[in-house]
Amino acid sequence: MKFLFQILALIILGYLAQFILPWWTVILVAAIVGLSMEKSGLRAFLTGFLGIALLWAVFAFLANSQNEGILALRLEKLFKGMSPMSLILITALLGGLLGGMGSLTGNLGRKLFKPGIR
Amino acid sequence: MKWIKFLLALLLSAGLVYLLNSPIKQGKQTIPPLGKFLNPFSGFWKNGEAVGQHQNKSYQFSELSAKVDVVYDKQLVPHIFAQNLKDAYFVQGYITAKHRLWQMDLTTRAVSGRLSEILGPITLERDKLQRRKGLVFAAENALADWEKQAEDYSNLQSYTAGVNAYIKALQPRDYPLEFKLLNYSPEAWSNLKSALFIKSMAQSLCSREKDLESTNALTVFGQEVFDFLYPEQNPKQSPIIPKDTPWDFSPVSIPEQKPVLMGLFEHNPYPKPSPFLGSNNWAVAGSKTKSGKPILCNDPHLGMTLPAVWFELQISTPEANSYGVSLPGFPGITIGFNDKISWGMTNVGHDVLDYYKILWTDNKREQYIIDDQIKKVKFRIETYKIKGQESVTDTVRYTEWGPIVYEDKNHPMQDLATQWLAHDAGSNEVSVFRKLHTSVDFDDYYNAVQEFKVPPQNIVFAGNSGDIALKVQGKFPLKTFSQGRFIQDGSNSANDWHGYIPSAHNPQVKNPERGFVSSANQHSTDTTYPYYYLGNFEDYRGRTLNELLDSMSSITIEDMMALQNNNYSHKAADALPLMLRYLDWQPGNDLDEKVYSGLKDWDFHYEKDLLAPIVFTYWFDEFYQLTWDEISAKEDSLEIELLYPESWRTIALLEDNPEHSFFDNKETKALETAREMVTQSFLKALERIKEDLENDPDFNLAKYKRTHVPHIGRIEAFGSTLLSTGGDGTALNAIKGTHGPSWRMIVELSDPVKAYGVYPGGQSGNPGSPYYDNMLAYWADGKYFEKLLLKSPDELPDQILFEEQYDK
Repeated sequence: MKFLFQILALIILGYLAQFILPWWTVILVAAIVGLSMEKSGLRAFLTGFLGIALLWAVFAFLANSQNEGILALRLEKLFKGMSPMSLILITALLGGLLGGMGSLTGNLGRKLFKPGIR
Repeated sequence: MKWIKFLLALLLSAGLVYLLNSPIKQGKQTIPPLGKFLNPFSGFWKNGEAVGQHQNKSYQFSELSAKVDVVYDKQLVPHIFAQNLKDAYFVQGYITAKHRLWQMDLTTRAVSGRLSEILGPITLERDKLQRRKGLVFAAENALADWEKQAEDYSNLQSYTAGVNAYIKALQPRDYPLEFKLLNYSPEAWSNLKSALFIKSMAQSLCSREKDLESTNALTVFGQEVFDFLYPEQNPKQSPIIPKDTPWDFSPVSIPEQKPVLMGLFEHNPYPKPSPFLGSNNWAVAGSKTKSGKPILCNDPHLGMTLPAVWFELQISTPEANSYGVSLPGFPGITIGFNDKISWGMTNVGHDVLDYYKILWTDNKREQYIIDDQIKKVKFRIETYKIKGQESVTDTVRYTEWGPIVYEDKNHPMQDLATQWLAHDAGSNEVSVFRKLHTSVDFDDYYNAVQEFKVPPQNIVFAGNSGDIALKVQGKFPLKTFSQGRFIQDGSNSANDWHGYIPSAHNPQVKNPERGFVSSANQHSTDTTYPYYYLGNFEDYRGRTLNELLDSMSSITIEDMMALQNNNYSHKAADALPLMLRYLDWQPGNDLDEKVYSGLKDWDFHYEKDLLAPIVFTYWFDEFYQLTWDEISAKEDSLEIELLYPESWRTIALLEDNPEHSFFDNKETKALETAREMVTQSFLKALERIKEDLENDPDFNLAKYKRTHVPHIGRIEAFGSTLLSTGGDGTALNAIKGTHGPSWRMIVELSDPVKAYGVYPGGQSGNPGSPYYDNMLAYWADGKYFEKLLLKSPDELPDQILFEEQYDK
């Protein structure tokens, strides 16, 4: 339950932050959510990764389908064969990395002051 | 331990953000910062427009004096309804920026030598050349003139304010795609940038000259051979002003001046301006049309690009209602119509750029001599910001003639001063388009175009009262015979232009007996025109156009569409029968027979599925090269560049002097005539076409032409795919590779006015928009869209996609 709640928090806060702030602030959002996590570093990383990857994937996918793939197909030519789907995947992966690292950092920061499990 | 783990993670996170926010250099290419570019909130995904979703919007701007309504039709053409022109220009600026901001940025950077700021040292030499040619100098001069015209200047400022209102409201996520790819931000627009835009047109349209090649050719061959090879007037031409039109003015007289040869100009070949750009326009009188009302047509041929050269719009104010295409960066409608008149442009080929050899006092080159008087050079320091590097400066010497463009010792034009019409002051282009907007008849049109000075244009006119007219409009230097054909002595003030031809003496024609006026970049006049001019003129399209228009009657809009798409080539019709007559060869096999009979039966139309036009093109190329091998041999042995005869001259030689010694191949002992040249060149052409057919048995003209529309920043993925078209530079449908009709317009001045048009591209400059290239396929197929000159925003609600309100 907590896990789902954290993912949801990441998605909502991440969305809000990026809507008004520069794109990279998503890592700060993940750090804040990570700060509230009592789990292991690995769990924190995975949660952050999944949350932001999901957020980025869904928005990239929506943008692409509303655009009927016009732009992604042009970029496929530009990036020599990178298909629209792989562009979405890469986008998700990058978002995931940012989310994961942010969350992990926040989580490790928490442990400096509040010893959790391990 | 905990601290180390934490700090490590913190460091990694910061590093990750840094990495994803930095561009990646990969050889010559730079990949945009990945996180910045790919994130779906401000990266490229944001540039994909939602297809079929349009929203009505309203805006508020304190700059406006009243409410402006805009409706967009199905081709995304904005129809602007304003209470005055100033407000209309504000909204035109705003909307143009919204759809074409990056194009506007790139074009003005390119013309003013500021590409290196965004692309790095790779474009520095190009930038330097632009400024050395005085493009910024020219724009500054134009702007200084514009500032003196209060009403027009305030209109221009309003356009600039509109563009800037759009830029100011932009968030990084809204930046056009190319800004994101190249990782830079839009900067403010300025009045100077609009002036730069006009000078960019001048550079593409009126900076062609052959001074160096001509000087070398006269020096090497002597006067007699020179006159034989390079006559200025083609006897077969059909000039813009009909032959034998009387000149109803007494010409200004100027002192005679014999050209003095300034010697040979040696060393490295240098790049010349882009290939010949042409256009067609014509107007037929009501006596020749089915409706009894005049029809006006125009198709300016330019280097085609995506985003497209033109931006289409309607501007409606209480006093007038006009429609047409605009230059994205300049207020008003450049080519178009209102409910009373229509106007269009083609380029005038007159040579308005001349070179002068400077006599320096010493090799410091800070002082020079004109008429025994010592003059001081003015230095203009140009500073170049370069992406990723320190800025550099460059000094340009300005003489009384103009700037010294080339100082490189190896450049053949080293140390020559340039006198170019586009540097001159004295025009007010902004007023031209303001006045055309409200013109209701011939007098208004005539008055409006007076101020149009550079680049000179053949401005055609038709009005619903029945008048048709055409004026060769521009500021034309008064020149003595041959002046400006060769590099001139810059130490003698007598070689200066002798002022300008009075505008009333410019070639012009109104309601001629033949019932039509036309231009296709050919000579403005026959040889009776009392002023000397030379230049680049087209020899085939004008003849085709005049012959066809002469033969037509009861003309409909559909006839005019067919004429704009006509692929007949007078060049082929002139040359091919002669070449076939002298061909001494028999087909040896089926393929030979196929090629030969294809040529023999060809009707000289460059249709896309044919082979014959390719064979003819190869054959003529080879024949031309073989015929003028003397010239290329001289070029090689003397290490100079020489002038080559025009193609019509080559055809005339074949027709009139088939035994002439120029047909002799100097490398062989035998004495060759045209017969041998024609046959030898045919065999070479046959080889070439056979090779093509081996590679592709279905080879045809469309495949040979490879017509396509490239992206303006040469990003291949944002250009068009190959289009299947016919056409040729010598045909009215002048499609050649990436050049061609950049806007086809047909306007019938009936009541209400009927208009059709199409251009190779789309209204949006965004590669992620369905309107980026939606008209391209129609254009390639020769199809048109009906144009809507709306009387009010709610006249045709079912033709409207969405609306915008701009309020004060």
